[in-house]
Amino acid sequence: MPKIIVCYKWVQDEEDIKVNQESLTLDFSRSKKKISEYDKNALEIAVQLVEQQEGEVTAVSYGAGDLKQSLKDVLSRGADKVIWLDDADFAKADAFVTANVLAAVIKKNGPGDMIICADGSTDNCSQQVPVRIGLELDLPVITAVIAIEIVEDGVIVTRRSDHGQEKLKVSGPAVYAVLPEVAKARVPSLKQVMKAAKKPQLQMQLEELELAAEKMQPKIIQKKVEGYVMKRKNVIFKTGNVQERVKGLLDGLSQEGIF
Amino acid sequence: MKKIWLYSEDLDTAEEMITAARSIAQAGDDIGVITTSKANAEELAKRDVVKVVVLDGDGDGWVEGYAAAIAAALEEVAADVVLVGNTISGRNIAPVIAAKIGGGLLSAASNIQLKDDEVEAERTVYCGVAVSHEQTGLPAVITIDKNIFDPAADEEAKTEISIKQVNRESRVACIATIKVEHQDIDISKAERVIGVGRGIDKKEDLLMIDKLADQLQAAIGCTIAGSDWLYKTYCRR
Repeated sequence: MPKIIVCYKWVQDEEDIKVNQESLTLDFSRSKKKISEYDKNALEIAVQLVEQQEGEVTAVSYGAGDLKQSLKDVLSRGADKVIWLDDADFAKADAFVTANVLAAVIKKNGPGDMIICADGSTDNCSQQVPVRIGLELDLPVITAVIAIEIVEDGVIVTRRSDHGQEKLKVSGPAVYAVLPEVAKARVPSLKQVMKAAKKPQLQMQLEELELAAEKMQPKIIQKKVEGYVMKRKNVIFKTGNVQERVKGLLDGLSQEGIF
Repeated sequence: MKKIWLYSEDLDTAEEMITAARSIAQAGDDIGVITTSKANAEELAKRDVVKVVVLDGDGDGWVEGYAAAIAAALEEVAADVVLVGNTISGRNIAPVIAAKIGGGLLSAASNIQLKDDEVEAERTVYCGVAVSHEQTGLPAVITIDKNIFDPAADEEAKTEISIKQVNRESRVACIATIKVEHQDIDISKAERVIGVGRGIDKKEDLLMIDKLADQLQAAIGCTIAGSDWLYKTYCRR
């Protein structure tokens, strides 16, 4: 009966962020907040493992003042409870600070058997929080995970490597940083959404964690963020039949020196 | 005088990291190389660097199991800046190094500038929507994508190689390595890449892309959104 912790981040929906083409400033006015896309996959694999073996999934998040808005969604997606900590200074937190806070929250509440995170978030995508959590908790970390199977004496993990895939056998508690293909995120049913309202929500305060001042001191300072504007040719081959359009495409590519 | 060290388990990437290190180094700075492969060490020692350190372990597979040993070696040499290839294993190993040497990690960084007591660089954020300009103090760790820098060529140098025996993380065992279909397709090395996005309506329509790729002798790449959607068996992102 595994006890699984899943870390998630409440982020701006990147698909609705608009870039001012002149000033390169970002306009978030149409962008709603969401659970970071890949965290949904992390939560899904945890819920599936618990559905197979029983157990418990606890979602954990550290975020800004609006983090409370995420609780219903994360509980609808199958977490049994959620522990959350909002911080007015969250915007200054880098991966180092975020991992320190999450590790301290996990330590206070018991690390369980598995800690599952996405390999990266869809906003900052520094891809280092899971590894830093593992280091703080002195647990091994396996990244780029695409399959997890709980066996009698441990966990068998399939992960991507630079040369293909590796199968690893893990003994004892560990941190797993998963890729999206580990499990397709569910769309919560009405029943799951209704059930979510009754699940426990535990809010924690930074002071409870008793973190040393240096652990709350970011290593990375963000000086500015500018929109990325890609110059596109915007050519669409619309006229003629398929053969003529394909010829147009090939001629166009040839003129551009692609081949 | 700063100590710039670099690591990648992949030879080509390690050679690129040497060029990257030279691009940020100033006169008098030392460049050192750390590797987990004796064969790579022999080759890398032909480049004009101050030292090549080989961490010799107990076999192949799951190179990330040596992350703590790599980090400890870099702490021992008091590296100011560590450049790591942004490979799958590099992304795992770099934060371990950063934690051990007490530094910040700028991941997948470009336009790197090394100053007296800090590093500045740019990173892509919000899935490519924006670029973040960031800085961190020294010591610092930076991961760099492949194919940004040219690999350093053989300079017929005879750099000293030192070998250290190390142990791998014992709580994780590599029980198999698996070759996957399309593994031979490396878009980072392809002469042409066809970029595919969500403009494709149906999975069946990918056949058109396959045919086009055959005609152009091109590899197929896709956006993160595209790969999450349906192309993941085809693409590298």
